[in-house]
Amino acid sequence: MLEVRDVTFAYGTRLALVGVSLAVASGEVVALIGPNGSGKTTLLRVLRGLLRPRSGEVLWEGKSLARFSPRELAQAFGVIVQDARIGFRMTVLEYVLQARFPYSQGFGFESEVDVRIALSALQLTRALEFKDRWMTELSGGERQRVLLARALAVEPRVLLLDEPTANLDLRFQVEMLALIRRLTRERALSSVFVAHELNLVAEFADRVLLLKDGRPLAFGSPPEVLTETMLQHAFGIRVCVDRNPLSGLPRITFSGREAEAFRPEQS
Amino acid sequence: MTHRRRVPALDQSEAHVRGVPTRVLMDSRRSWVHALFERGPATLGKVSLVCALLAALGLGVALLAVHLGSEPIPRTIVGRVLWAHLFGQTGEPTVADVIVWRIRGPRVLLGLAAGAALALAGTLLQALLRNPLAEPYVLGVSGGAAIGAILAILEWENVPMARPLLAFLGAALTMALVYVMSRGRMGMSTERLVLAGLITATLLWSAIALVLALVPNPRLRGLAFWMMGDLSGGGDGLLPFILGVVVGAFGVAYAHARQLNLLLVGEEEARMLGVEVERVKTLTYLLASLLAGAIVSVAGAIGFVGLVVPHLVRLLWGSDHRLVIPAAALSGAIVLTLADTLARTVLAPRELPVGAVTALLGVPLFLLLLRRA
Repeated sequence: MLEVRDVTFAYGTRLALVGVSLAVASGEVVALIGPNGSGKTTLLRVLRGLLRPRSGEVLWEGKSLARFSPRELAQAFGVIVQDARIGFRMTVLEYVLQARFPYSQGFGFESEVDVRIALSALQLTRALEFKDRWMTELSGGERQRVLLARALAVEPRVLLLDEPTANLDLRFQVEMLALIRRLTRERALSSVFVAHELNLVAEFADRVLLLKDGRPLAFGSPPEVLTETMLQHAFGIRVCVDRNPLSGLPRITFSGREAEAFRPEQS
Repeated sequence: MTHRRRVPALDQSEAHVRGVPTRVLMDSRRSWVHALFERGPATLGKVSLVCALLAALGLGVALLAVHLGSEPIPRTIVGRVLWAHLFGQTGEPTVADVIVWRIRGPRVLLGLAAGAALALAGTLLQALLRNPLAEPYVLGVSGGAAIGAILAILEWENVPMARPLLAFLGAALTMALVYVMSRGRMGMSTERLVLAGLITATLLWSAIALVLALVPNPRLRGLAFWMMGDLSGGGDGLLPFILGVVVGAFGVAYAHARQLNLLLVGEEEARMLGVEVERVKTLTYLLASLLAGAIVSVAGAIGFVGLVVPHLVRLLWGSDHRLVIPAAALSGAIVLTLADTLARTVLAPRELPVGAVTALLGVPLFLLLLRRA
């Protein structure tokens, strides 16, 4: 159980999160949505303990994050950050193997077990075929799958994924989120992901937190949060929400033509 | 671009015809040559293999360097002199004995140590700044060390340790200055870093030139040669200290090889995987300054070894510091010893400053690498 209690955070004087609370149970996938700059990435960083909230607290298994050692947290959290960039020659397998560092003595070489875990993580994200390529040679979508493999190779209890579907084509968007959902169930993980594609959120999230200007607008199941009024209020464009004929979950549709003429309330 | 194409089910004969170096071929003809250049995570076997080969090459180069010179000493005599000294059977000192043991021996040892130290300092700075262009000379760190060394010569000539100590302080202060200068509001960019280094280096070397021109101190005569990088001093009696620093710094750096690998990917990622980022960064910074200071204080400013050698090593074997640190140190030792041998022999009996030779060889090589990258 990962829990955020009434967290407020500010960059200098600019408030980035105000009174955010959230609980992610084991086996549950929570999506963070909201306009650009609404605090989604900041909240992920607070969840990982990279940013210390001004007030409120983050609890993992009922204990404040500050009471865990860096190594314990490194073993518990698998994280994907936005635009991870590698400027040096490093193969995909080497990059994924780095995730085994928190289990090592700090020096020496990776064990056979480490290599096997890294390879099976690469297999899960369908990245095994390019394990020997340099990280610098990968396409955006290939790199994204490698990042997920690296997060999984930690063998984490919590997954924190910042736009895990960025740069992926439709098939891989669906496959990767399905994989995240399946692993979350099978391994009883607590998973939080940030996404902009609302239809993916509707299909794959158990619960959704909608943020705007750092404040929580709504928290609940996809049908509760992904409503026409809520989305129009948050994003400022008119959308139509009906039922996805294949899954029965909310389907979000917008009209590009209409958006040209549509004027939301002047902000 | 045929070599990039991945063909899934390629049978071996077909692969051979097309000349595609696929894994199919790699697996069927696995040999130590393949093992040497196979991509993938560093293993103890691979590191040992690379280091053993480089160490053997380094030993050969060192013996060659003692053998060659304005007065070539036959290899058998080189062997006999070394044998006699190492196993304590010294008799009457001969001319060959003096040349091998007193003149060329220390110089070659200093060359090996300096080459290893410079390549190691370059490797560390590149990991610390996550920038393959970082290097003591380019960043002005050598210039800072040189100022410290000159100050020590002027003020504390009778304290032998003052030179490396002040050189270390000069290097560390310069490094901090360049670091602060290169950090903008948007973080550190390659351009800012290289520019800050360049400006600092220009300023420091001009200051040194001014001091050399204006201070009428006889002790500073001959320092113009030293400024350009010169191993002829053979360590000026500090050789054991220098060797100790290099070996010690190597050991500490190697113990942190995995942390440096993580740092290469990004500070935040490293922190999330449990690396004590601030401690490792401070340590790396101190080690690089210590190495630069120690070498500059006895051998002057030798450029480009720290830039080109780690670059080549990464090109051959990737960026894993468990392999890069020892391979770069050994290769740096080899390269600088060869460069110094060239500096001694090309215009013999006249000598060139080895720094000029490394720059003359290093700059075109670096431009070539830059074009290929």
